[in-house]
Amino acid sequence: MKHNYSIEKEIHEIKCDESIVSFVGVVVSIDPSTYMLIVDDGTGAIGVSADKLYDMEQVLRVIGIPYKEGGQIIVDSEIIQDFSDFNLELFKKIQKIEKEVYT
Amino acid sequence: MPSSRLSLAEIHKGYFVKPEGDFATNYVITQEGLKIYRLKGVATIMAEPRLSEDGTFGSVLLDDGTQSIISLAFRENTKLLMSIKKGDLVQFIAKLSEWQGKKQLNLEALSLVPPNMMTLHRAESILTTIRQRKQFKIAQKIYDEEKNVRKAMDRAKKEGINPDLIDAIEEINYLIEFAEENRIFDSDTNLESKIIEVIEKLDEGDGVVLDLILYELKDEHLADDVDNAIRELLSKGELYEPRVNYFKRTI
Repeated sequence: MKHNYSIEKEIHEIKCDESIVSFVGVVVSIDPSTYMLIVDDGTGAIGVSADKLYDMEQVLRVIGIPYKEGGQIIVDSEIIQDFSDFNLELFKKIQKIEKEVYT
Repeated sequence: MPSSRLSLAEIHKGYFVKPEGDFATNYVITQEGLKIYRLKGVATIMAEPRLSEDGTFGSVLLDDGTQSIISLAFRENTKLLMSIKKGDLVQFIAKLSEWQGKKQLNLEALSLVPPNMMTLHRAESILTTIRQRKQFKIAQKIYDEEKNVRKAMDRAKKEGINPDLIDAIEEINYLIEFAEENRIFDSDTNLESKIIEVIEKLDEGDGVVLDLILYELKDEHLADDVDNAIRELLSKGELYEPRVNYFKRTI
């Protein structure tokens, strides 16, 4: 389903039929030659094409469009936010409550 | 009016109200009866802000993860857009407006915030929603049982429920009815457009006979509805009848 706003997803939920998704995760791998990052949010890891290189273990929020390449899903980043010092654990608790309240 | 924290999704689901009176503030009433005059939120700037050439007007698209909204800045408030860029996480305070049926924000304050503010905003938004739902549920029960606004308000007050919620329920019922009327109106307008299209397509100079118009629209509309819509177009002056039962577009 297409939306005109970013849909928050856990990485393991990301498919190619969404127009724009967002997720928060940690950089676990960097390919400096292709500017490709691997970001892990604890539910899965996904390739993210970026405009610049980030640090290993840096916490990022990625907003982008998923597509399939060579059988793998990659997120073409529209926006990457530096979420260093972000309390990811607390955020996940809030997301869980949101799901209960809003759905 | 103080600002309230709420998600953009809740704002989009609510009803926009423009009260009568020059100085009355617009608001959105949520499905749980909460009136939002000023919205406070935390969102991402999704595209580079736009500014008019003379600098008196600007706009930016905000996304809080639940929905997005166009946010406008006028006159001195356009300076708010000068210090932000695509990808920034911001906290905003804004009044609500509507343009062509779409809700918008009129920015009053905007500042960069650290990522943990997003969590704080969302936690406070949930708290607002939970509290409001609880109160609204009780108010709705009182309203349904009393069947009289005055009595319902008195009882709500006695039971520690904000009596304004009874008014809010009345207002929501009215807005739902009004929205339904608008939907019917839109559907009428749609039929009128189709009739004009049919006439323009089939008219070879002398107008189009009624039976042919009815035949063209028979799969989608009842003959009576088409007939009424033609009468409406005649009264508006958009069609005329050069011969009995022949209709032609007014040039």
